[in-house]
Amino acid sequence: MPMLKYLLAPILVVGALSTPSLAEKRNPLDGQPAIRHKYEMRKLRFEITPEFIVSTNQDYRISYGGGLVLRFHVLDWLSIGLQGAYLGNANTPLENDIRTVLPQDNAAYRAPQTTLRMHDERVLNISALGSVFLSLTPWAGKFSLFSAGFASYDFFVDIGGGFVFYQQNGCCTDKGQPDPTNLPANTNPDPNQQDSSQYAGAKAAGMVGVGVHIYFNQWLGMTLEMRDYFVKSNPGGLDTNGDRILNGDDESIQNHLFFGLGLTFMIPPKAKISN
Amino acid sequence: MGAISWRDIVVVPRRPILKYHRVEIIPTYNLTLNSSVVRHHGFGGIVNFFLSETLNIALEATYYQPQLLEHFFLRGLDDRVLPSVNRYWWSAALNFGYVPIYGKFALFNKLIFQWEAYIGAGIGLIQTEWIPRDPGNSSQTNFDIMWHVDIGTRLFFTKWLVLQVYLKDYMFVDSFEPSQRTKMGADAGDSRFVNNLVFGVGIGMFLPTSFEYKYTR
Repeated sequence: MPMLKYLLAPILVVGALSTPSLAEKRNPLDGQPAIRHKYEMRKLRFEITPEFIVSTNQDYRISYGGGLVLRFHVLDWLSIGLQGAYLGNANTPLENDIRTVLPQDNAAYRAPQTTLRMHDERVLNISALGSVFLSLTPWAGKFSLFSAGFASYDFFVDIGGGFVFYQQNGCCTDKGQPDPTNLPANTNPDPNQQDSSQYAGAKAAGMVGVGVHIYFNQWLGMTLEMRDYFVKSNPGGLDTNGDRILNGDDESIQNHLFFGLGLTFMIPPKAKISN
Repeated sequence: MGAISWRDIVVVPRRPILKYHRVEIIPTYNLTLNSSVVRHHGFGGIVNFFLSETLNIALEATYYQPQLLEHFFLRGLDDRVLPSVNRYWWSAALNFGYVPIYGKFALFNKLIFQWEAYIGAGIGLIQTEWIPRDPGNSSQTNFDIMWHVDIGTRLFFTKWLVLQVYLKDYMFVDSFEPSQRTKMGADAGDSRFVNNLVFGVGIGMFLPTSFEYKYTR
Protein backbone atom coordinates (compact mmCIF):
# COMPACT_ATOMS: atom_id res chain seq x y z
CA MET A 1 0.00 0.00 0.00
CA PRO A 2 2.77 2.57 0.77
CA MET A 3 4.32 1.51 -2.56
CA LEU A 4 1.10 2.46 -4.41
CA LYS A 5 1.06 5.84 -2.66
CA TYR A 6 4.54 6.64 -3.97
CA LEU A 7 3.53 5.63 -7.50
CA LEU A 8 0.35 7.75 -7.56
CA ALA A 9 1.86 10.86 -6.00
CA PRO A 10 3.54 12.25 -9.17
CA ILE A 11 0.42 11.57 -11.25
CA LEU A 12 -1.77 13.43 -8.76
CA VAL A 13 0.64 16.37 -8.68
CA VAL A 14 0.70 16.65 -12.47
CA GLY A 15 -3.05 16.29 -12.63
CA ALA A 16 -3.57 18.94 -9.98
CA LEU A 17 -1.34 21.39 -11.83
CA SER A 18 -2.72 20.74 -15.29
CA THR A 19 -6.45 20.65 -14.66
CA PRO A 20 -6.95 24.40 -13.93
CA SER A 21 -5.01 25.46 -17.02
CA LEU A 22 -7.08 23.17 -19.24
CA ALA A 23 -10.24 24.62 -17.73
CA GLU A 24 -9.06 28.14 -18.48
CA LYS A 25 -8.44 27.42 -22.14
CA ARG A 26 -11.70 25.64 -22.87
CA ASN A 27 -14.52 27.83 -24.18
CA PRO A 28 -17.86 26.22 -23.36
CA LEU A 29 -19.27 27.56 -26.64
CA ASP A 30 -16.59 25.83 -28.74
CA GLY A 31 -18.22 23.60 -31.33
CA GLN A 32 -21.69 24.74 -30.42
CA PRO A 33 -24.08 26.00 -33.12
CA ALA A 34 -24.18 29.77 -33.65
CA ILE A 35 -27.95 29.79 -33.19
CA ARG A 36 -30.06 27.40 -31.10
CA HIS A 37 -33.80 26.83 -31.38
CA LYS A 38 -34.00 28.76 -34.60
CA TYR A 39 -37.20 28.96 -36.61
CA GLU A 40 -36.40 27.21 -39.89
CA MET A 41 -38.13 29.79 -42.06
CA ARG A 42 -36.98 28.33 -45.36
CA LYS A 43 -35.78 24.72 -45.34
CA LEU A 44 -38.20 22.43 -47.23
CA ARG A 45 -40.84 25.17 -47.50
CA PHE A 46 -42.61 26.54 -50.57
CA GLU A 47 -42.91 30.27 -51.18
CA ILE A 48 -45.52 32.15 -53.23
CA THR A 49 -44.92 35.87 -53.80
CA PRO A 50 -47.28 38.01 -55.87
CA GLU A 51 -45.42 41.22 -56.56
CA PHE A 52 -45.45 44.61 -58.24
CA ILE A 53 -42.39 45.36 -60.35
CA VAL A 54 -41.19 48.52 -62.05
CA SER A 55 -38.17 49.20 -64.24
CA THR A 56 -35.64 51.67 -62.89
CA ASN A 57 -33.20 52.34 -65.71
CA GLN A 58 -35.10 52.23 -68.99
CA ASP A 59 -34.05 54.81 -71.55
CA TYR A 60 -37.37 55.20 -73.40
CA ARG A 61 -40.22 53.54 -71.53
CA ILE A 62 -40.83 52.73 -67.88
CA SER A 63 -42.27 49.23 -67.57
CA TYR A 64 -44.46 48.29 -64.62
CA GLY A 65 -46.88 45.54 -63.75
CA GLY A 66 -47.73 42.49 -61.73
CA GLY A 67 -45.85 39.25 -61.40
CA LEU A 68 -45.55 36.04 -59.46
CA VAL A 69 -42.52 34.39 -57.89
CA LEU A 70 -42.55 30.74 -56.86
CA ARG A 71 -39.69 29.20 -54.91
CA PHE A 72 -38.97 25.91 -53.26
CA HIS A 73 -36.34 26.08 -50.55
CA VAL A 74 -34.38 22.86 -50.82
CA LEU A 75 -32.09 23.88 -47.98
CA ASP A 76 -31.96 26.78 -45.56
CA TRP A 77 -29.57 28.54 -47.93
CA LEU A 78 -30.54 27.16 -51.35
CA SER A 79 -33.75 27.34 -53.37
CA ILE A 80 -34.99 27.00 -56.93
CA GLY A 81 -37.53 29.37 -58.39
CA LEU A 82 -39.70 30.49 -61.24
CA GLN A 83 -40.81 34.05 -61.90
CA GLY A 84 -42.91 35.87 -64.47
CA ALA A 85 -44.52 39.28 -64.97
CA TYR A 86 -46.88 41.04 -67.37
CA LEU A 87 -46.13 44.72 -67.91
CA GLY A 88 -47.55 48.01 -69.10
CA ASN A 89 -45.39 50.90 -70.30
CA ALA A 90 -45.18 54.68 -69.89
CA ASN A 91 -42.76 57.21 -71.34
CA THR A 92 -39.74 58.28 -69.30
CA PRO A 93 -39.51 62.05 -68.65
CA LEU A 94 -36.64 62.29 -71.15
CA GLU A 95 -38.69 60.45 -73.75
CA ASN A 96 -41.50 62.98 -73.24
CA ASP A 97 -39.02 65.82 -73.74
CA ILE A 98 -37.68 64.28 -76.93
CA ARG A 99 -41.15 63.64 -78.34
CA THR A 100 -42.14 67.29 -77.92
CA VAL A 101 -39.40 68.43 -80.32
CA LEU A 102 -39.69 65.74 -83.01
CA PRO A 103 -41.46 66.90 -86.20
CA GLN A 104 -45.04 65.68 -86.56
CA ASP A 105 -45.56 66.37 -90.26
CA ASN A 106 -44.87 63.01 -91.92
CA ALA A 107 -45.35 64.43 -95.41
CA ALA A 108 -42.47 66.84 -94.79
CA TYR A 109 -40.13 64.07 -93.61
CA ARG A 110 -36.49 64.72 -94.40
CA ALA A 111 -33.85 62.21 -93.40
CA PRO A 112 -32.03 61.73 -91.18
CA GLN A 113 -34.28 63.11 -88.41
CA THR A 114 -37.20 60.82 -87.61
CA THR A 115 -40.73 62.07 -87.38
CA LEU A 116 -42.68 61.54 -84.18
CA ARG A 117 -44.62 58.66 -85.79
CA MET A 118 -41.46 56.89 -86.95
CA HIS A 119 -39.96 57.25 -83.49
CA ASP A 120 -43.06 56.08 -81.62
CA GLU A 121 -43.57 53.05 -83.82
CA ARG A 122 -40.02 51.81 -83.35
CA VAL A 123 -39.33 52.21 -79.63
CA LEU A 124 -39.60 48.90 -77.77
CA ASN A 125 -41.95 48.27 -74.87
CA ILE A 126 -41.24 45.43 -72.45
CA SER A 127 -44.56 43.57 -72.27
CA ALA A 128 -43.56 40.48 -70.34
CA LEU A 129 -40.58 38.79 -68.79
CA GLY A 130 -39.81 35.61 -66.95
CA SER A 131 -37.00 33.50 -65.58
CA VAL A 132 -36.02 30.31 -63.81
CA PHE A 133 -33.33 30.70 -61.22
CA LEU A 134 -31.25 29.31 -58.44
CA SER A 135 -31.31 31.31 -55.23
CA LEU A 136 -28.70 31.46 -52.49
CA THR A 137 -29.54 32.78 -49.02
CA PRO A 138 -26.22 33.34 -47.26
CA TRP A 139 -27.52 35.81 -44.64
CA ALA A 140 -30.40 35.42 -42.26
CA GLY A 141 -31.11 37.11 -38.97
CA LYS A 142 -33.47 39.29 -37.02
CA PHE A 143 -33.80 42.98 -36.35
CA SER A 144 -35.47 45.38 -33.99
CA LEU A 145 -37.61 48.29 -35.19
CA PHE A 146 -37.66 51.23 -32.73
CA SER A 147 -36.51 48.68 -30.11
CA ALA A 148 -40.12 47.49 -30.03
CA GLY A 149 -41.03 45.32 -32.99
CA PHE A 150 -38.88 42.35 -33.95
CA ALA A 151 -38.81 40.50 -37.26
CA SER A 152 -36.79 37.82 -39.01
CA TYR A 153 -35.29 38.49 -42.38
CA ASP A 154 -32.97 36.98 -44.93
CA PHE A 155 -30.92 38.24 -47.82
CA PHE A 156 -30.82 36.31 -51.07
CA VAL A 157 -29.04 36.31 -54.42
CA ASP A 158 -30.72 34.94 -57.59
CA ILE A 159 -28.92 33.68 -60.69
CA GLY A 160 -30.79 32.33 -63.70
CA GLY A 161 -32.02 32.77 -67.22
CA GLY A 162 -35.24 33.57 -69.01
CA PHE A 163 -36.74 35.87 -71.58
CA VAL A 164 -37.79 39.45 -72.20
CA PHE A 165 -40.73 40.00 -74.55
CA TYR A 166 -40.61 43.24 -76.55
CA GLN A 167 -43.50 44.88 -78.40
CA GLN A 168 -43.70 47.98 -80.57
CA ASN A 169 -46.60 50.36 -81.06
CA GLY A 170 -47.64 49.32 -84.55
CA CYS A 171 -44.31 49.06 -86.32
CA CYS A 172 -43.97 50.25 -88.98
CA THR A 173 -45.96 52.49 -91.28
CA ASP A 174 -42.81 53.73 -92.97
CA LYS A 175 -40.89 50.69 -94.15
CA GLY A 176 -40.90 51.34 -97.88
CA GLN A 177 -37.13 51.29 -98.14
CA PRO A 178 -36.10 48.55 -100.57
CA ASP A 179 -33.54 45.98 -99.49
CA PRO A 180 -30.79 48.24 -98.18
CA THR A 181 -28.12 45.71 -99.03
CA ASN A 182 -29.09 45.78 -102.71
CA LEU A 183 -29.23 49.48 -103.55
CA PRO A 184 -27.58 51.12 -106.55
CA ALA A 185 -24.10 52.50 -106.03
CA ASN A 186 -23.81 55.91 -104.34
CA THR A 187 -27.27 55.53 -102.82
CA ASN A 188 -27.56 56.09 -99.11
CA PRO A 189 -30.01 53.73 -97.44
CA ASP A 190 -32.40 55.37 -94.97
CA PRO A 191 -32.64 53.33 -91.77
CA ASN A 192 -35.70 55.32 -90.67
CA GLN A 193 -37.70 53.70 -93.47
CA GLN A 194 -36.58 50.13 -92.95
CA ASP A 195 -38.49 47.41 -91.13
CA SER A 196 -37.72 47.66 -87.42
CA SER A 197 -40.09 44.89 -86.34
CA GLN A 198 -37.13 42.48 -86.30
CA TYR A 199 -36.26 43.88 -82.84
CA ALA A 200 -39.60 42.93 -81.29
CA GLY A 201 -40.52 39.52 -79.88
CA ALA A 202 -39.06 37.27 -77.20
CA LYS A 203 -35.34 37.51 -76.53
CA ALA A 204 -33.30 35.18 -74.34
CA ALA A 205 -32.01 36.90 -71.23
CA GLY A 206 -29.73 36.25 -68.31
CA MET A 207 -30.96 37.28 -64.89
CA VAL A 208 -29.24 38.17 -61.62
CA GLY A 209 -30.98 39.61 -58.60
CA VAL A 210 -30.66 40.43 -54.93
CA GLY A 211 -33.36 40.88 -52.33
CA VAL A 212 -34.60 40.52 -48.80
CA HIS A 213 -37.49 38.69 -47.18
CA ILE A 214 -38.89 40.31 -44.05
CA TYR A 215 -41.11 37.88 -42.14
CA PHE A 216 -44.01 39.29 -40.11
CA ASN A 217 -44.77 35.85 -38.73
CA GLN A 218 -44.09 32.23 -39.66
CA TRP A 219 -46.13 32.28 -42.86
CA LEU A 220 -46.40 35.88 -44.05
CA GLY A 221 -43.67 38.25 -45.14
CA MET A 222 -42.62 40.98 -47.51
CA THR A 223 -40.10 40.72 -50.33
CA LEU A 224 -38.01 43.58 -51.71
CA GLU A 225 -35.79 42.77 -54.65
CA MET A 226 -33.81 44.13 -57.57
CA ARG A 227 -33.44 42.01 -60.69
CA ASP A 228 -31.30 42.71 -63.71
CA TYR A 229 -32.33 41.09 -67.00
CA PHE A 230 -29.49 41.42 -69.46
CA VAL A 231 -30.43 40.83 -73.04
CA LYS A 232 -29.16 41.68 -76.52
CA SER A 233 -31.61 44.17 -77.96
CA ASN A 234 -32.14 47.56 -79.60
CA PRO A 235 -34.58 49.52 -77.39
CA GLY A 236 -34.79 52.52 -79.75
CA GLY A 237 -35.45 50.32 -82.81
CA LEU A 238 -33.28 52.51 -85.06
CA ASP A 239 -29.79 52.49 -86.52
CA THR A 240 -27.36 52.55 -83.59
CA ASN A 241 -24.06 51.85 -85.35
CA GLY A 242 -24.40 54.38 -88.16
CA ASP A 243 -24.14 51.91 -91.04
CA ARG A 244 -27.64 52.92 -92.29
CA ILE A 245 -28.85 49.34 -92.23
CA LEU A 246 -31.16 47.90 -89.59
CA ASN A 247 -29.94 44.46 -88.61
CA GLY A 248 -28.65 42.47 -85.67
CA ASP A 249 -25.52 44.62 -85.51
CA ASP A 250 -27.66 47.41 -84.06
CA GLU A 251 -28.41 45.29 -80.99
CA SER A 252 -26.21 45.37 -77.93
CA ILE A 253 -26.39 44.01 -74.40
CA GLN A 254 -28.96 46.01 -72.43
CA ASN A 255 -29.46 45.88 -68.69
CA HIS A 256 -33.11 46.03 -67.63
CA LEU A 257 -33.14 46.69 -63.91
CA PHE A 258 -36.43 46.00 -62.13
CA PHE A 259 -37.43 46.76 -58.55
CA GLY A 260 -40.00 44.41 -57.04
CA LEU A 261 -42.20 44.63 -53.95
CA GLY A 262 -44.17 41.54 -53.02
CA LEU A 263 -46.17 39.82 -50.32
CA THR A 264 -44.75 36.43 -49.44
CA PHE A 265 -46.73 33.41 -48.29
CA MET A 266 -44.82 30.42 -46.88
CA ILE A 267 -46.19 26.87 -47.10
CA PRO A 268 -46.54 24.99 -44.80
CA PRO A 269 -47.55 27.89 -42.58
CA LYS A 270 -45.71 26.60 -39.48
CA ALA A 271 -41.92 26.67 -39.41
CA LYS A 272 -39.96 23.92 -37.67
CA ILE A 273 -37.65 24.80 -34.79
CA SER A 274 -34.06 23.60 -34.92
CA ASN A 275 -32.30 21.93 -31.98
CA MET B 1 -40.45 24.50 -5.52
CA GLY B 2 -40.23 22.99 -8.98
CA ALA B 3 -37.04 22.00 -10.70
CA ILE B 4 -35.04 24.87 -12.19
CA SER B 5 -33.37 24.36 -15.53
CA TRP B 6 -31.25 26.55 -17.75
CA ARG B 7 -34.39 27.41 -19.70
CA ASP B 8 -35.50 29.55 -16.73
CA ILE B 9 -32.49 31.82 -17.04
CA VAL B 10 -33.32 34.88 -19.11
CA VAL B 11 -30.31 36.53 -20.67
CA VAL B 12 -30.43 39.96 -22.21
CA PRO B 13 -27.24 40.56 -24.17
CA ARG B 14 -25.83 44.04 -23.94
CA ARG B 15 -25.73 46.21 -27.04
CA PRO B 16 -22.59 45.05 -28.84
CA ILE B 17 -21.56 48.44 -30.26
CA LEU B 18 -21.89 51.81 -28.56
CA LYS B 19 -21.82 54.99 -30.65
CA TYR B 20 -22.71 57.67 -28.11
CA HIS B 21 -20.41 60.71 -28.46
CA ARG B 22 -18.23 58.94 -31.03
CA VAL B 23 -17.24 60.36 -34.40
CA GLU B 24 -17.52 58.32 -37.60
CA ILE B 25 -15.34 59.28 -40.57
CA ILE B 26 -16.39 57.76 -43.90
CA PRO B 27 -14.65 58.19 -47.25
CA THR B 28 -17.38 57.53 -49.83
CA TYR B 29 -17.85 56.67 -53.46
CA ASN B 30 -21.26 57.15 -55.03
CA LEU B 31 -22.90 56.74 -58.38
CA THR B 32 -25.90 58.54 -59.84
CA LEU B 33 -28.64 56.12 -60.86
CA ASN B 34 -31.54 57.78 -62.58
CA SER B 35 -30.21 59.61 -65.59
CA SER B 36 -29.93 57.63 -68.82
CA VAL B 37 -27.74 60.22 -70.54
CA VAL B 38 -25.12 61.19 -67.97
CA ARG B 39 -23.68 59.37 -64.97
CA HIS B 40 -21.74 61.09 -62.22
CA HIS B 41 -19.13 59.37 -60.09
CA GLY B 42 -18.96 61.04 -56.70
CA PHE B 43 -15.89 60.97 -54.45
CA GLY B 44 -16.27 62.45 -51.02
CA GLY B 45 -16.58 62.00 -47.34
CA ILE B 46 -19.00 62.15 -44.44
CA VAL B 47 -18.26 62.97 -40.81
CA ASN B 48 -20.94 61.83 -38.35
CA PHE B 49 -21.16 62.80 -34.69
CA PHE B 50 -23.48 60.68 -32.58
CA LEU B 51 -25.58 62.59 -30.07
CA SER B 52 -27.04 59.31 -28.82
CA GLU B 53 -27.10 55.68 -29.93
CA THR B 54 -29.72 56.56 -32.54
CA LEU B 55 -29.28 60.25 -33.44
CA ASN B 56 -26.43 61.88 -35.27
CA ILE B 57 -25.52 65.07 -37.09
CA ALA B 58 -23.19 65.04 -40.06
CA LEU B 59 -21.27 67.04 -42.62
CA GLU B 60 -20.74 65.69 -46.12
CA ALA B 61 -18.94 66.87 -49.23
CA THR B 62 -18.66 65.28 -52.68
CA TYR B 63 -16.73 65.99 -55.86
CA TYR B 64 -18.35 64.66 -59.08
CA GLN B 65 -16.83 63.34 -62.26
CA PRO B 66 -19.29 63.08 -65.20
CA GLN B 67 -19.53 60.27 -67.75
CA LEU B 68 -21.75 60.73 -70.81
CA LEU B 69 -23.62 57.50 -71.48
CA GLU B 70 -24.30 55.65 -74.72
CA HIS B 71 -27.87 56.90 -74.73
CA PHE B 72 -26.72 60.53 -75.02
CA PHE B 73 -24.93 59.63 -78.26
CA LEU B 74 -27.76 57.39 -79.53
CA ARG B 75 -30.43 60.08 -79.09
CA GLY B 76 -28.40 62.29 -81.37
CA LEU B 77 -27.75 59.57 -83.91
CA ASP B 78 -31.26 58.13 -84.05
CA ASP B 79 -33.50 61.13 -83.63
CA ARG B 80 -31.15 64.02 -84.34
CA VAL B 81 -32.11 65.46 -80.96
CA LEU B 82 -29.66 66.18 -78.16
CA PRO B 83 -30.98 66.45 -74.61
CA SER B 84 -30.01 69.28 -72.29
CA VAL B 85 -27.52 67.90 -69.82
CA ASN B 86 -25.76 69.41 -66.83
CA ARG B 87 -22.59 68.23 -65.20
CA TYR B 88 -22.26 68.40 -61.41
CA TRP B 89 -19.10 69.79 -59.86
CA TRP B 90 -19.43 69.46 -56.12
CA SER B 91 -21.98 69.41 -53.34
CA ALA B 92 -21.87 69.88 -49.58
CA ALA B 93 -24.57 69.39 -46.96
CA LEU B 94 -25.40 69.36 -43.28
CA ASN B 95 -27.25 66.16 -42.37
CA PHE B 96 -29.26 64.59 -39.60
CA GLY B 97 -29.58 60.85 -39.13
CA TYR B 98 -31.71 58.49 -37.10
CA VAL B 99 -31.29 54.75 -36.56
CA PRO B 100 -34.70 53.06 -36.21
CA ILE B 101 -33.56 49.52 -36.99
CA TYR B 102 -30.72 47.43 -35.71
CA GLY B 103 -30.19 43.75 -35.98
CA LYS B 104 -27.85 40.88 -36.53
CA PHE B 105 -27.50 38.12 -39.02
CA ALA B 106 -25.67 34.85 -39.35
CA LEU B 107 -23.53 34.26 -42.41
CA PHE B 108 -24.17 30.66 -43.49
CA ASN B 109 -25.34 30.00 -39.92
CA LYS B 110 -21.77 30.48 -38.64
CA LEU B 111 -20.53 34.04 -38.25
CA ILE B 112 -22.75 36.60 -36.58
CA PHE B 113 -22.59 40.24 -37.70
CA GLN B 114 -24.23 43.36 -36.28
CA TRP B 115 -25.86 45.91 -38.56
CA GLU B 116 -28.22 48.83 -38.42
CA ALA B 117 -30.36 50.78 -40.85
CA TYR B 118 -30.69 54.53 -40.77
CA ILE B 119 -32.76 57.26 -42.32
CA GLY B 120 -31.47 60.75 -42.84
CA ALA B 121 -32.06 64.15 -44.35
CA GLY B 122 -29.98 67.19 -45.06
CA ILE B 123 -29.67 70.54 -46.76
CA GLY B 124 -26.78 72.05 -48.66
CA LEU B 125 -25.47 73.45 -51.91
CA ILE B 126 -24.55 71.99 -55.29
CA GLN B 127 -22.65 73.52 -58.20
CA THR B 128 -23.74 72.45 -61.69
CA GLU B 129 -22.83 73.54 -65.21
CA TRP B 130 -24.44 73.23 -68.64
CA ILE B 131 -22.83 70.87 -71.13
CA PRO B 132 -23.63 72.89 -74.30
CA ARG B 133 -25.07 70.88 -77.18
CA ASP B 134 -22.86 72.92 -79.48
CA PRO B 135 -19.38 73.08 -77.94
CA GLY B 136 -18.99 76.51 -79.54
CA ASN B 137 -21.70 77.93 -77.30
CA SER B 138 -20.97 79.29 -73.86
CA SER B 139 -21.82 77.38 -70.73
CA GLN B 140 -23.46 78.54 -67.54
CA THR B 141 -22.64 77.71 -63.93
CA ASN B 142 -25.41 77.25 -61.38
CA PHE B 143 -25.32 77.21 -57.58
CA ASP B 144 -28.46 75.48 -56.32
CA ILE B 145 -29.88 74.93 -52.87
CA MET B 146 -30.11 71.17 -52.49
CA TRP B 147 -31.87 68.95 -49.99
CA HIS B 148 -31.87 65.20 -49.65
CA VAL B 149 -33.42 62.19 -47.93
CA ASP B 150 -31.47 58.99 -47.35
CA ILE B 151 -31.72 55.41 -46.30
CA GLY B 152 -28.66 53.39 -45.53
CA THR B 153 -27.10 50.63 -43.53
CA ARG B 154 -23.98 50.11 -41.44
CA LEU B 155 -22.44 46.70 -41.21
CA PHE B 156 -20.04 46.40 -38.29
CA PHE B 157 -16.87 44.41 -38.94
CA THR B 158 -15.35 45.41 -35.58
CA LYS B 159 -16.20 47.89 -32.83
CA TRP B 160 -14.74 50.69 -34.93
CA LEU B 161 -14.75 49.55 -38.59
CA VAL B 162 -17.99 49.56 -40.62
CA LEU B 163 -19.19 49.20 -44.18
CA GLN B 164 -21.78 51.76 -45.21
CA VAL B 165 -24.18 51.32 -48.10
CA TYR B 166 -26.76 54.00 -48.85
CA LEU B 167 -29.28 55.46 -51.25
CA LYS B 168 -29.70 59.23 -51.27
CA ASP B 169 -32.18 61.27 -53.21
CA TYR B 170 -30.75 64.75 -53.80
CA MET B 171 -33.39 67.25 -54.87
CA PHE B 172 -32.87 70.69 -56.33
CA VAL B 173 -34.18 73.09 -58.95
CA ASP B 174 -31.55 73.33 -61.67
CA SER B 175 -31.18 75.53 -64.74
CA PHE B 176 -30.68 73.70 -68.07
CA GLU B 177 -29.61 74.87 -71.51
CA PRO B 178 -32.80 76.02 -73.32
CA SER B 179 -34.30 73.58 -75.82
CA GLN B 180 -34.40 76.25 -78.53
CA ARG B 181 -31.22 78.18 -77.95
CA THR B 182 -31.11 81.30 -80.08
CA LYS B 183 -27.66 82.72 -79.50
CA MET B 184 -24.18 81.75 -78.54
CA GLY B 185 -24.15 83.84 -75.38
CA ALA B 186 -26.02 83.39 -72.16
CA ASP B 187 -29.67 82.56 -72.66
CA ALA B 188 -32.00 82.25 -69.74
CA GLY B 189 -32.01 78.60 -68.76
CA ASP B 190 -34.97 76.27 -68.43
CA SER B 191 -35.62 75.62 -64.75
CA ARG B 192 -36.46 72.06 -63.81
CA PHE B 193 -36.83 70.10 -60.61
CA VAL B 194 -34.21 67.36 -60.39
CA ASN B 195 -34.26 64.12 -58.42
CA ASN B 196 -30.68 62.89 -58.36
CA LEU B 197 -30.74 59.41 -56.90
CA VAL B 198 -27.34 58.07 -55.88
CA PHE B 199 -26.10 54.74 -54.59
CA GLY B 200 -23.05 54.97 -52.39
CA VAL B 201 -20.64 52.87 -50.40
CA GLY B 202 -18.08 53.83 -47.81
CA ILE B 203 -15.76 52.37 -45.22
CA GLY B 204 -16.35 54.09 -41.90
CA MET B 205 -14.04 54.40 -38.93
CA PHE B 206 -15.30 55.25 -35.46
CA LEU B 207 -13.19 57.41 -33.15
CA PRO B 208 -12.36 56.72 -30.44
CA THR B 209 -11.87 53.15 -31.56
CA SER B 210 -13.03 51.65 -28.25
CA PHE B 211 -15.73 52.37 -25.68
CA GLU B 212 -16.69 51.39 -22.14
CA TYR B 213 -19.98 50.12 -20.86
CA LYS B 214 -21.46 52.02 -17.95
CA TYR B 215 -23.85 50.35 -15.53
CA THR B 216 -26.32 51.87 -13.13
CA ARG B 217 -25.40 51.27 -9.49
